[in-house]
Amino acid sequence: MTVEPGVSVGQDSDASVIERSWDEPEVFAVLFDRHADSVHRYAARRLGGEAAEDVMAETFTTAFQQRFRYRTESADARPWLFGIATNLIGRHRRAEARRLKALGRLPAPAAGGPADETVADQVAARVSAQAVRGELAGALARLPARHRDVLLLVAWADLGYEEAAAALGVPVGTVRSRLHRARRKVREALGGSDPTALREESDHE
Amino acid sequence: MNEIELLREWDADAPPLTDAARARARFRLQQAMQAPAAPVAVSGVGRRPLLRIAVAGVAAAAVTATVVVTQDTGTEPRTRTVSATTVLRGAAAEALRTEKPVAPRDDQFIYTKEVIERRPVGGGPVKRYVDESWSSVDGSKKSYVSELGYKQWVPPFQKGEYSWPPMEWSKLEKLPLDPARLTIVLRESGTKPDFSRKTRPEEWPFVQTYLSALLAKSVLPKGLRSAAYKALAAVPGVQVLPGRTEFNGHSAIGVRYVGRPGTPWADGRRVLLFDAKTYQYLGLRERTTVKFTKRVVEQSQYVVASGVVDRVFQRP
Repeated sequence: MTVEPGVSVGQDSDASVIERSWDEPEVFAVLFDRHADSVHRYAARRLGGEAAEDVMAETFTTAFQQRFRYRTESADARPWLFGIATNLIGRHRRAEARRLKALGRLPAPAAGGPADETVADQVAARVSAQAVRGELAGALARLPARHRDVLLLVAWADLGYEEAAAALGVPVGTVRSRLHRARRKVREALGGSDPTALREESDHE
Repeated sequence: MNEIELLREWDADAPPLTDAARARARFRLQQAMQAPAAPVAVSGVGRRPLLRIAVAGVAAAAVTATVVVTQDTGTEPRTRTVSATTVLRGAAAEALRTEKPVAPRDDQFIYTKEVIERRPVGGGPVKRYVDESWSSVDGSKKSYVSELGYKQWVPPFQKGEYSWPPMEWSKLEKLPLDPARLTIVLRESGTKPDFSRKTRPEEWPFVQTYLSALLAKSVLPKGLRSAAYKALAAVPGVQVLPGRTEFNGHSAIGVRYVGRPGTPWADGRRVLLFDAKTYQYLGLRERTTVKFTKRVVEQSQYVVASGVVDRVFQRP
């Protein structure tokens, strides 16, 4: 179903769309169209494709059911949606742990990456991320869930500190301290793996 | 080295969202949105039929723009323009005068019988629905809700679920009877209210929606309806429609809320109707599009009976 023609919600803020959906439930589909991809991508990075589809769908049905509780002073609904998604992901802790473990065991890709990558691609940081994905996965797996949530809301959901705090319903100071600890642990894990290579990478940037 | 950047660059072998998966997810959302008309089992989080909201909400049907045009009969006294404040304060006084105090027990049900009439704007027969609903007083029991003739059981609240404004009588009883305080409590939606803070312009639509939701309940603790009318009278943008209209055998005055330009309420499409003589609340009317069609109807809805009963299907 699409929003009815003539209903101009394209320019509206998320908050305005949600407010409107209080009276016109189907307007909520606009929010899905805006954010389904990013919520799915976040969930897919954390849980893989199959569970991500479920989490993404549930995020929007849950959000829809809770739309009357949305604080409309927040124009951007992403923190709210990612907060719901993070809660739902929390039900898959074991699956997430298994996935991270599996990713941690994957052999590092051959130097240069896939054959169709250009030289420019190879010098990009993406290559170094691929190169240390085992370490990244291992470090994420070892983080306490609440630290991992904060780190990945910032890194994978692109939320700011304030937004992550809103998403998790915790003070922004808590976000800062959890993020600080999580980053330190990831850094330690990476430093232990190949500090020289990484230092060189960053020197090149 | 920046580990955040490194993480951002790492796709963690995440597969992209396929069109098929997107369509499936959107379908699930659609099912949730259509819940009153077509309940479909959705796995996962306890899905709550929209009717829960409809019971608490103003009107269930989707609405589109267009303001109801009232007809000036010009035959009643008080044909001079009255303000929305006058009408709503009159309605508040009338509510206080006519309502009987009730004290439903938690194990009882609120009974509501409501008529909804849909008159096609392009002409055609009027469709009339008589909906009878039984709503659990404390939300702990299954409620039975009819809406536009579609009947269904609504499961009790699950842990962590609640509606706002509250459905539970015990919570309704705690709402302040002072209109200004009621506004603030509704504005803060369940969090600790800051009574010293003035309501911001962008919060008024919120307040108005919640007040309307309260007023849509057929039975309220004594004094709360009156307080809600008075609080509504103080909402900027609430205005009286010129002229009179016929509504359910009464000469009626229409009151509507018009939000700021650019907001979803800018068109003031929903009209509350009050008896032109007594200011007693009669019901509401709006021009609405029949869900999932392009048919435009003028919808009138009004409560014809209500009360407290011991069990579902019992009438007062």
